[in-house]
Amino acid sequence: MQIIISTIDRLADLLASLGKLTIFCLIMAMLYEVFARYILDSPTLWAFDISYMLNGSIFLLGGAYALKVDAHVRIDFISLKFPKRFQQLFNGILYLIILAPIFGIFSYVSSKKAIEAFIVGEVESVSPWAPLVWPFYSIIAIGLIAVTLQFISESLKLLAGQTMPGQSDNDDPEKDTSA
Amino acid sequence: MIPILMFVALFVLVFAGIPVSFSLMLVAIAFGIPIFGDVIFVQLYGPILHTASNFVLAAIPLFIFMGAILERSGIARRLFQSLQLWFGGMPGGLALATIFMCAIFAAASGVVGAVEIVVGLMAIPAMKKAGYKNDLIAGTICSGGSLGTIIPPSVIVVVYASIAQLSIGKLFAASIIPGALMVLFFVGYIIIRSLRHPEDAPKLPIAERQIPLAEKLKITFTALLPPLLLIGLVLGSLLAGAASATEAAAVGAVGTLLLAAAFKELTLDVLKSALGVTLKITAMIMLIVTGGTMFTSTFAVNGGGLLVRETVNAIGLGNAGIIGFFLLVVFFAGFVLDWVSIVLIFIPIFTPVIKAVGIDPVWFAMAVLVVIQTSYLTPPMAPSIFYLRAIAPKDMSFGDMYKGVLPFVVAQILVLIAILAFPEVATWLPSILVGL
Repeated sequence: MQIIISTIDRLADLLASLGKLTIFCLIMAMLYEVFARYILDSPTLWAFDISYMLNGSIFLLGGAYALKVDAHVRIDFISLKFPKRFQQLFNGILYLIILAPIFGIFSYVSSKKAIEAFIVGEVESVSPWAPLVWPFYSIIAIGLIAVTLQFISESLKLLAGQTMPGQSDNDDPEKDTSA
Repeated sequence: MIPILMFVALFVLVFAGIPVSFSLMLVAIAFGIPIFGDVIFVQLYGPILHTASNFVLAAIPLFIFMGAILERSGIARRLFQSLQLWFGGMPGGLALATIFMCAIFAAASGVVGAVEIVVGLMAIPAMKKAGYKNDLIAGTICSGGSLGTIIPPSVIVVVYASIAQLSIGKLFAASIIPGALMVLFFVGYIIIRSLRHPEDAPKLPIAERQIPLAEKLKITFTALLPPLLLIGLVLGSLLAGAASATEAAAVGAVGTLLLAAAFKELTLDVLKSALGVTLKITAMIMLIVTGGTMFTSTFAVNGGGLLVRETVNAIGLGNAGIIGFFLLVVFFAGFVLDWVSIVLIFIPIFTPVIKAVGIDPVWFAMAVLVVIQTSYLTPPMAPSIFYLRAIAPKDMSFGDMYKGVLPFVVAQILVLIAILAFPEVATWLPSILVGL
């Protein structure tokens, strides 16, 4: 079981590294657009599409990581009063039986969209740049698959009593700081 | 009836400690199945794709990254020191420095409670050491932390603009005067109280602020002006219509990086941890946006819009009744929900009604943002106090905290009254700034 957990967690970390890189790309792309518009006097065709695609990628590449470090806002002043074991079982079962399957289905839907877009060579219809959409759709699908797996990993950790809901992993370097 | 049940179900899940974003999704799916059957997941994939491809939201990671770098490099610490230097000799000087620090930092925060904790960790020990009364410390930190909704450029405003389909620039412009008023009222209270009861807020010892003018100017130029210029640059280019919010935020992010580099504080660790926080918080906010969009779309197909219209009709009192009802809903929601969730759940429900009866959506947005803040600060269910508790000194009691925030709640209510009674407070600036 530890192997499953650590494999999934490593996948989340890998995607997180790509996500961090994407943040950097987003900054640079926007900066270039400002530069191109005011200095070169020729705004890019792609800035609009690239910015939302990069931001969407940041979102989905970070999805599993956010779950792993339990970054999601909980209102826990009532639930903290329940016995610890109950909190672990409740969240663990919810993750495993309900949320993982839900995200599994979303992964399936998004993978299908990505494959269809790839086969027909679908392009962004409202954009003058008209980029192919399958790379972006694929990142969404990969992100959702990773979130699904992360739900399984987190539920195993909760059920095994290794973590508490609402507590960050110990290896989270950004623990108890926020921006 | 079904739309009301959706809210009941939502609050049950939220109070059970399930993350707000997942609670929203679960309710959306549960109440969507009877209507959509097994295409519900194809239907609700829409909000995921829609959120992931929202251009306006791309400003969020950039603002958060900017804040994370400011906080993690020494820029924030030096900023607070230089503010102390300038205000230290005034009545309630440290508290004033704290409020201004929060106002500057509010700019770049995406998360409820973040400013409060970041500034609180610096300011509480300083005020404690100077001998400030506990209730004044508590009130200053909590109210400063609440400024994040209204002081531009705020992430909440970005989310609001994208949900209500308003111009970000317009909303930022509209929030400048209410934000300034709010700071003014906070500052006014602190000064008056410190003048009447100097023992509540002792001045810094002369020795700590008596430094040569040259030194003081040097600190000002290196520590105070650069961050202010950065924020001015971001806001200015946005309000002048020279850049989109995303581009302005990117310029701000690069400026912050250069500033940190100029002080040789841009280490690999700082950069890595800032990127990590940005990734984590962006994913968190975007997932709430996704869940909120799923929730409101299911709410709509279950007849939620009709319910809202019937409710406001039943209240009567025309537009005043509508506004009053909506603001009350936001106020109570703020006891439990965070800022982004409130905007995401309620604004899509309110906006059609507001537009239909001809209420200015920008003006209404300002009233909502102030009410979100007031709700954040108002005991006994004040999120601001929950955050403060995590960083409060041991001898600070709940009584101190409750007592401390009340004058600031009054200040917020005054701002709300100003906006409601004189709509120009919110509408004048956007009307004169062309190009928005």
